Amino acid sequence: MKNISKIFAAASLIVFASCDPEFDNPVDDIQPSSGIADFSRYVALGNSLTSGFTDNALFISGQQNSYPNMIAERMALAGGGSFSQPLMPDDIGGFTDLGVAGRLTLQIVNGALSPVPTAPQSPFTPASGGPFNNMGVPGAKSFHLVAPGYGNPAGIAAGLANPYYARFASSPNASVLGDAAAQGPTFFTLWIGNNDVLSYATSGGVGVDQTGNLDPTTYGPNDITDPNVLGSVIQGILETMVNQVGAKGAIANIPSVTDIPYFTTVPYAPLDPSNPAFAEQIPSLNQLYGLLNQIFAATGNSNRQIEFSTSEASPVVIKDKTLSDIGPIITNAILSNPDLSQYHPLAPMLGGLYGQIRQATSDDLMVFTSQTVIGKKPGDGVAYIDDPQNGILAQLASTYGLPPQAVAQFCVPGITYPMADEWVLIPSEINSIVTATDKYNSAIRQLANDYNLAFVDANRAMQELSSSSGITYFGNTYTTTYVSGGAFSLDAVHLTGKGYAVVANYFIDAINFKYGSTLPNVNPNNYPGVIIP
Amino acid sequence: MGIGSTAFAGGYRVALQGVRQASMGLVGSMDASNASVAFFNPAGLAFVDAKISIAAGGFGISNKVEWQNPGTLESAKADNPLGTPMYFAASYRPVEDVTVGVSFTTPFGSTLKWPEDWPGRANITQIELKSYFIQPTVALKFNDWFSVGAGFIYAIGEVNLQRTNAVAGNEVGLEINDTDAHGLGFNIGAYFKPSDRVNVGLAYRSKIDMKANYGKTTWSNVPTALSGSMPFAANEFNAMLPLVSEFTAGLSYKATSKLTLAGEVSVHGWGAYKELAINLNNTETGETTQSLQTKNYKDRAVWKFGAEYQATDMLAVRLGYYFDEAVTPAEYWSPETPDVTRNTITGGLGLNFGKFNVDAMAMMILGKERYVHNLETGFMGDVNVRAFAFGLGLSYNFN
Repeated sequence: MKNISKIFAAASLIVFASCDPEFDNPVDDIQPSSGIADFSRYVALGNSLTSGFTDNALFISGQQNSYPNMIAERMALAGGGSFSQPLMPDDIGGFTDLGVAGRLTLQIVNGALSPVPTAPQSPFTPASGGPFNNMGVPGAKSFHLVAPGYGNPAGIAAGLANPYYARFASSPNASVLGDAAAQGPTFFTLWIGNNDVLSYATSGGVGVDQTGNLDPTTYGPNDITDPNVLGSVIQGILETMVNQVGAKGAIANIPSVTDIPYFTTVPYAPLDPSNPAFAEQIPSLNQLYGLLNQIFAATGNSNRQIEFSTSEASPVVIKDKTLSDIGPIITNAILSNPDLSQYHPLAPMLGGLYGQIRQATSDDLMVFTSQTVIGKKPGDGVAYIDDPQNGILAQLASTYGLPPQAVAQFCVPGITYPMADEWVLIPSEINSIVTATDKYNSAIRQLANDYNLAFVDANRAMQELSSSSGITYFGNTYTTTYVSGGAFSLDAVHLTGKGYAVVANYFIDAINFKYGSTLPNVNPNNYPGVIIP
Repeated sequence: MGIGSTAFAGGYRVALQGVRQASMGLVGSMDASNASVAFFNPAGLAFVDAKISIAAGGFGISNKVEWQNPGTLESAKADNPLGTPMYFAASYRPVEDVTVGVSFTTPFGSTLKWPEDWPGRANITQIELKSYFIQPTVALKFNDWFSVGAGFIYAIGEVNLQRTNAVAGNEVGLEINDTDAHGLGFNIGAYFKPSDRVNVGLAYRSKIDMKANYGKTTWSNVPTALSGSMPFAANEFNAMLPLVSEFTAGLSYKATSKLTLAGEVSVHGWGAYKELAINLNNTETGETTQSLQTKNYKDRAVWKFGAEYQATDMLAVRLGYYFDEAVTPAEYWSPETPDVTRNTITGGLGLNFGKFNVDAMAMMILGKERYVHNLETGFMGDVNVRAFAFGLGLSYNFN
């Protein structure tokens, strides 16, 4: 009897144990290796993208989903050490005392989904517990990483220092690179240069393309950095990290900034005649622009013709600073035509408004924030129009000495008031951006070779995301489409946790390729994205 | 009743329609022991040695599916409830040479329950497929060595499929459910008995397009802002799943007075499963959204071998083996119908009480690990399947 029960027990054991399928190499037994790299002390250098900035703010959960933190978690499986980050005081971000707003959330406003900023809760507060492994500094351009005093709290108010770096700079005169090197990292990642062209782009190209100017101390905040400046700054960083500190590392290039949703969300032709409020204005608009079109034709500027279609969406009217200014000619033409006597008092303003206008084309890129002003009218509560000091209504009235009610109808951005430089990237500006990005990237590629580093092709990651098929992981497709694409956060520039996971995989693959390590990838589907209410 | 199984090729074929046959490596087209042959080969009814034959049985099948992604070190296991496919068959011979019968079987089905939060949740979290075949059959015996038979198949199906899709940062649940899918088909065969020692069966069962026409679509956790737009506004679905054809040829040989050997090959028309189109409809607005997955399954043959040894007058011992090659290409593999190549060993006992027979069987289905990477969904990793089934059948033959 005893034997029988033993046999029975053994038999059921065999049946149930063998009921689980088996793999030749179960993942539970896989031990990731570091290859010829040493991940014991990893420092990440970069800008907002490296810090975990998302939804237009830096806050705790965003930092926890930064790509360096994801990489460090994988490195920890292969001899990596702990990874600390200068966590913000709360999960909202912003600074109450510096006028920096907290994170955007998507809300239903007047029936439409809109990103809405959250009021910040905490003032500027230094981060305790440094030094930190994640040294990504939101807003940093390449040359800021080597600038002493970039983290001096005393310089924040004057705009001379960066509050995010000031939170963890080792001393008022420290530099990001110096603080990174002092940690003696065995491994580093560097992703810098985005802001050297991005701030020019997001500002609609109001800055200056500083190519040829080798002194970054003379640059404005929205200027394009000279590619040689960027190259020599990055070379200096690598010289320190590789040859002085002795670290191995990975360097990423710059994605095409014009592919981000900040420039692809607002169409160049958003004026839809199926909207009755717009449709009823079309005849009088075409009458007004018909007068101008005659002047354009008479002055050899037929390419500036403006007409609004009653059957399909029309492009907005923009100011193109590369066009010759024929404002005085317009003014004179109106004043010298007795048939236009009702326009005579307005003639100087019309010349001022329409001297450099044309309708937008598919070669122009409207910036993301232009949607907040296009087609809005005085009284709609848009500060850009109604602000008593700086609003376009007040400005026009005071510049031309006209009563506000006379100028109000010329204060509809994109329709009667041409979209200003800040709202649109025109081809010459896009060309500056593309040229600078290409030069940055060839410098970065060369430096990756020269310093024998893993090269992360972030530019290709963006190409994949912005392709029609996107990047698909386990049934979920990521694209550059705003909100629904999943990869970009509500600010249309920075990534979501899911998007940062895509970036982390590009870094991990490049590191594995270069150093023979076997760091596992992360699954982007497991990270947070934009919550639709 | 759950008809659980991912234990057979294609991921939703359940080849358990007779305990005796299952214990001998699934050979069935040439086994006219009782009325259950109606499913395997309608012509076989003519050679059942009884004026009335009744056969019934049931199985328990426990199957496990595992997935792992060496790229991310993630893994998951489908925790599937015990499946219980059943069958019933009866035949009656009103006049010499004509036999009529009916069989009730559950030849296609699947029950799979993956973890709610597993990485493949956008494909599938749960699926329950069931099919019931009702087959009235007639067999004509031309002489003592040849018969033909034909059956008409009325198939009823049930489907419940659940998945969780990411919509930006939201995880939105989709459930489609239909308990009223239908399909029609037929089953024909020929049976030869050239000598007392040899039985030969040839059979063809047609493809059945199982159509779900007015199934119910239910979404969960839909963001308010999207609830009015498609596909989240859908409340109905329609879809079609092919239950594929089989051509079977089998032979048994009575080697000694006690030992019978049998072999069979069946060719399964999985090539008919080109794509799975699920149309989600809004019955109020008429809007429709299609979710389309390429399948591109391949036709495959299953090789089966069985043996029966009559140890005593009362006791028969049976053994079998079959080889069942994967039908799903790696580049379109999907976890709702997990398919790998399988080697299966079977065994069983038969107890003969005269007119009354009791059969018992067990089988171990050993999957062969494979690496898959679905080009459309990005699902990838190693997959493997293992299953264990047991069954108990009764048959009653009398003249």
